[in-house]
Amino acid sequence: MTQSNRSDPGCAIEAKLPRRDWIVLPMLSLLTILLLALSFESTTWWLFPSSESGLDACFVKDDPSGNAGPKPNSVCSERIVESRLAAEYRFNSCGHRAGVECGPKTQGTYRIVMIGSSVAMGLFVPREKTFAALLPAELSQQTGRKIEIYNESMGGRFRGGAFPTKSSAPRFKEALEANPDMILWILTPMDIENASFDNSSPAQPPSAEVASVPGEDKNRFVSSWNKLQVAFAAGTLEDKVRDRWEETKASVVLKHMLYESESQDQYVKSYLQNEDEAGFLKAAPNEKWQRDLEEFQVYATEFISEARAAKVPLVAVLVPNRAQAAMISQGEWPDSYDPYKLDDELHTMIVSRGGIYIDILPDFRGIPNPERHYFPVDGHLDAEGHAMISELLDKELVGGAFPPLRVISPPQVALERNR
Amino acid sequence: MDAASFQFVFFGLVAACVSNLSRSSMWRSLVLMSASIVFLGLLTHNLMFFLPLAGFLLLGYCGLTMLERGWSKYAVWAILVVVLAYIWLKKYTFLPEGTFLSFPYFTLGLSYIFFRVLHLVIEAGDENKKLHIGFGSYLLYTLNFTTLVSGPIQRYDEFSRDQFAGEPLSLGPRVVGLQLERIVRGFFKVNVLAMLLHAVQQDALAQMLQPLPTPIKLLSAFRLAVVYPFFLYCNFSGYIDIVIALARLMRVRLPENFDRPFSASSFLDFWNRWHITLSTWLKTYVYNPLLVALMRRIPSLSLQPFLGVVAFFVTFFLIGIWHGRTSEYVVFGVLQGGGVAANKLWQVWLTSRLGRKRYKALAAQPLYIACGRGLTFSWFAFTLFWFWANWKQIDGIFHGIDLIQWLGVWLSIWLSATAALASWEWIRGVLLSLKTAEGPALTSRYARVVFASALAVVAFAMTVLLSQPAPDIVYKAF
Repeated sequence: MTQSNRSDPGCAIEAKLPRRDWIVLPMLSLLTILLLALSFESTTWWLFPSSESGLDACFVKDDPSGNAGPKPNSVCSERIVESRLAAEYRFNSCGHRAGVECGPKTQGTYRIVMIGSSVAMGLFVPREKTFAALLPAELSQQTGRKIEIYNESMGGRFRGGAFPTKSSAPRFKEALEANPDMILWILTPMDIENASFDNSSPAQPPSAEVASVPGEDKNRFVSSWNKLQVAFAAGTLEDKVRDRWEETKASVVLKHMLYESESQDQYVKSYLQNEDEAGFLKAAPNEKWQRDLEEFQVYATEFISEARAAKVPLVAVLVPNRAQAAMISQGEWPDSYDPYKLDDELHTMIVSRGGIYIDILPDFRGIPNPERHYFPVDGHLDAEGHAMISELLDKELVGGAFPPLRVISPPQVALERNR
Repeated sequence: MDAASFQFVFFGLVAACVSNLSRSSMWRSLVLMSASIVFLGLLTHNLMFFLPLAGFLLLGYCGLTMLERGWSKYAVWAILVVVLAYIWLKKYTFLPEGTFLSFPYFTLGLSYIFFRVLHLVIEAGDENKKLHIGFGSYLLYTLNFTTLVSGPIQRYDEFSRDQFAGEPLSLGPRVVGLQLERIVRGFFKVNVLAMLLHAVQQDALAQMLQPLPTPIKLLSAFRLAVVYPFFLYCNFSGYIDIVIALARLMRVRLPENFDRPFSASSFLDFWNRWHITLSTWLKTYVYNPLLVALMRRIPSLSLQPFLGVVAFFVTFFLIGIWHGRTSEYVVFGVLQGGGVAANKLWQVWLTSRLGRKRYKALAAQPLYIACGRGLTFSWFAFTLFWFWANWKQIDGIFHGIDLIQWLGVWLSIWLSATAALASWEWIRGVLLSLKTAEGPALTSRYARVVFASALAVVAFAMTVLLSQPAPDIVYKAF
């Protein structure tokens, strides 16, 4: 609130500032900043509840190999800031979030074993709302057959490895041992990027707790001060402050609100500034992405040949990330970009090795603002996003992309929904 | 370096600190000159790019020197040459394209340098004023980094009064505090408010150009028209707040450029509150001389009010076309001039119908003021389409809904603006009436510190957040 600033207070003889104001005013400023920060953080804790523990609770702590999956028959739950729903993770005796106990399929059932990473696992989404749970019902209804999806997907480099990484080869054998009629491999751009990541060495889970020893408070203070000095000397103080800020819930909530309010065009422009991460969207992907693709190709070749040897068809599909979905929906992008490029590369790679590839990316053109069905900050699909993917997969599978499930006159699947 | 970025503010604060190491005008001028040269250097490293600007400045100084030495009969020619040189360097589209320079060159701030140079040339041509300006002072005045990018347009006498004062303006804790508060406020306006409003405007524009249901298009049309004036105000006045504060910290008072423009009850009054230095400059050097010339040529008393209308139209038409070199700005100029002329005609007509006393009484009525305020805002919002959009966009926007629907949108804008701005004036009045012994409570230094601290926190958080591109999957290891 200001009055007109036409007159400059400096013109008249300046009144002296009372001595107490030299202390009161800076204190008032600090108090305001503290109160604002605390009240915003408190408000976000209240308005955007999240769980204290998450998926990590289902995993073995301090696993020496770093490759162990979730504990068999474990249950844990998680609710992230961005989600209105709490997701329960229930793992069967084989450590799969499959919704059924692991074992041979029942007679007359067409079993699809799904492999993939966190998107396919349905991270942050209740199991019954994931596409792994929705798709079998849709397929069964359309084909008139009893179709089951046994979901062996698992995400996380600390959790036995995403598909594919060096440690996921034995897990692929597990997929074949489940006696599938088809293996459905859900790919995301992150999986291609993670293909070159070596998680064969033990690693600490991100939420590993360090036990505090009584009387260590003073040492911790000294250690913090030393860290501050080191950071200042190394010029990394700004990064540390930024990292610390990004750990707060207020930061996530602010970003969530900001990204959610962005138009599709603004979001895409903003994302494309992220040169490394957006490299796969370029018409000519950069060196890093080309290397990642080459690494991925090795695993793809191995998986497809093993599947062929077991006479199990392997069907691969790329689920786009948030920005990719937005770009395709928009229908236009800068000249040096091509959101279909990775899809085309994977198609060629999979088909040339004897696999089957189904393409759901073109369908995003007819979906307005599909990016709204992803968590804006985190980037995973939300419940509506999973329903969207389920519909698209159903359409392609019964539409002829995979002949064993083809329906002669597939009903029109409504893709444009009011969301 | 953006004009309202952390870097610019930091740069300005450092320059102010160094400038205040000594009170001598020589030292302060040296610091200001150095800072201005460094600022130009940061904008571009290629010296060749500055040649045309240097040529323009030299041309101006030659004209100035010539007039100072008594060649005042060539004043008109000097003015014409400066104007033509400006038009040519800015590549106005009515000049043949073949005449333009083919290499890229620096033109940032040229529009404002033009006003400063022309002001000096005109004043030097006035035989009653003995003006002598050294080349150093001339460069200091024209290249002052605090006013280079987007003004405000300061008169030389005001600049020299402060810059070359033997005893500089005082700079005590209160003044420093006020300027720091102003910097925070300006930074917040540009980097938070303007950013958010721009996002709303872009979203509305995208929706107007898509085949969407009519209710959505109507809302988009409303948003598109209403949001831009506020965006422009936050963007421009925020920058002005920053530079005025930085200049004051360097002990130079820059003129104010905004005075609550959306409180204006008429379009004429609006231009007394919006980009004040621009309208003041043009009124001084175009409107007044033109009106005097017209009155000399047409001495008829009955026609004199209409001469004012003509003079207003010409003045504000020039304001419009100064903003840009394409045909959209010609229309913008016509609309600005037309708006002001229509306003003046209305006043003339109403005065002739009601008499001066009754007209004054009517103009003081709260409802009349509120409706005038709403109409002023609506007209300004309408004219701004030719300010920010090109012809293709304008075509898409105005064909987005039909004429009747557009009339409905403008009517609703007028009614909403009338109600909203009147409410704001009332709320503001109530809040300012809460007084302590020292004045309104909400403008006390304690309230201002709290307010500025809150704005600083929000601006910092938003700027830090926005400096990052949209994230990829946070849990990408999964």
